[in-house]
Amino acid sequence: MSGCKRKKRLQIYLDGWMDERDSEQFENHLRRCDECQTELFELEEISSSALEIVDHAPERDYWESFFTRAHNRINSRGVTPYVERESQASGLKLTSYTVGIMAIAAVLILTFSYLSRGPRHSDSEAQVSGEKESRSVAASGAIVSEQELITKIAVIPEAPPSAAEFDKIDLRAEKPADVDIDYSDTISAISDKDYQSAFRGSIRLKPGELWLSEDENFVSRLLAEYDGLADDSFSVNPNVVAEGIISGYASGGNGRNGLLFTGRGLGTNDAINPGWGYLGLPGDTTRSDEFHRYLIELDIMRAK
Amino acid sequence: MESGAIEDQVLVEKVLAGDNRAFEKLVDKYKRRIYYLAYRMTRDHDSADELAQESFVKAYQAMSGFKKGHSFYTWIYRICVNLTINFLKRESQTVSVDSVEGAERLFGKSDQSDQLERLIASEQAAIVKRTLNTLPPDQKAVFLLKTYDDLSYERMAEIMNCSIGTVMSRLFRARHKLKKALEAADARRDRRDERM
Repeated sequence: MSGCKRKKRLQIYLDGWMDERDSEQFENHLRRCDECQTELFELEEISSSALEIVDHAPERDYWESFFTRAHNRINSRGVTPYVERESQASGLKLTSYTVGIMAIAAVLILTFSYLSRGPRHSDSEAQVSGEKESRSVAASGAIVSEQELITKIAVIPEAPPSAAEFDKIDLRAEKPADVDIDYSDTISAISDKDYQSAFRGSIRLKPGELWLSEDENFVSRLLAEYDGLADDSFSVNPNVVAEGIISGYASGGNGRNGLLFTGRGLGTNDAINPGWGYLGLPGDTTRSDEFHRYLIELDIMRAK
Repeated sequence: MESGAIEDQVLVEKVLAGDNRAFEKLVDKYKRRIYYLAYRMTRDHDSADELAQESFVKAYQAMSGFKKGHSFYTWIYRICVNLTINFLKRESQTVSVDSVEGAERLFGKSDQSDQLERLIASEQAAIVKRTLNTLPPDQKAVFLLKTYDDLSYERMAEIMNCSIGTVMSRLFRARHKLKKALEAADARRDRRDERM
């Protein structure tokens, strides 16, 4: 188990991901911390060892014939890059007749899309899901609602467990085989292989406990930003620490990234409610570097 | 936009206008990097050649879809990485894990003076090489892009078509496994030295 908690920041330091100020601070720390120095040396050694591997060096003839061979492939398959350009070229020859036809088609599509809308939401709902309701014309010409597309890709959380069931959940059962985690820690955090597809590990939050001690702001922000989109009964008071499991990672249908939270906490009615929901982060976190950094830092820390 | 990227954009425009010489210039500019990317992923010349050639054929075919203002460099890397990852997954190809290769095979002839250091380095390189072959293709690709091309997280995320967090995660896992492999080798060496 790592002694120095800052060790988890070595990777982003090594890879030049830290800003100048953080780098300076980290270098000050490095000068004093033998453990981090050793770890840094080991990481650098991995790269230098990889660079020592001698690659196969093709002969000069190989490089000289490279383009000809690629070109022959292209010719033999009749591959052409000009498809789109041809359509652009013909587009330049638009006549007033074709423009008129296109305008009529556009009006028909807009009319159809307006008439086929579902029932109106309340103003606030409409604001939240405004983007979802926009419609797009697929390449095939069929009209597809973005909501349908979002539904297909969104991570759908399971129904919340009851409080009794929740206590029986064995977080350790979800431990991936290739990550060593020290469970002597009071908090369990287990990562999945790929945050992009699903953060299916679990982070258990307990009342009074803060995981990521260096990042307590993250926790409070995380809880404060719980937006309760999935379940109104479980909107968390910003000052209350909930108990639960972050069970998934979601690309929110509202254009934000977040964590799927299952557990219980103080609801707006001051009762302890089980529930599940979506823990958002401030602002638009779609592809947010900061958000992913939190996840990976958590993963790194827990894996060590 | 970087000057190299602007130059590439001009070449792409020319290719789309039917200028084969422009395509040749693009190929010449990137063929080595693309070949070595594929080679380091597969560790096999024939496969790397096939994948590199195919990368340029695909790029040519999809050239009209290349978005103005984007980096051709990133784009061609992305094509090659995708092709190679698919190839590795399809073939389940982890290139044969031979016994530790000799220094001569990994390096040129070493000087007498630093023979011991070179021997250790060669052993470590061989371990890294073998372990790399056991990594999932996605992790291997990220590690190679970082180590050999020193790409930023942002650029790698673009190439791999994933988030920066995923890049970091894959890179961390790749290094973690490589580190464990090196540590295990160190421990073996220590035990061997103790016995002697």
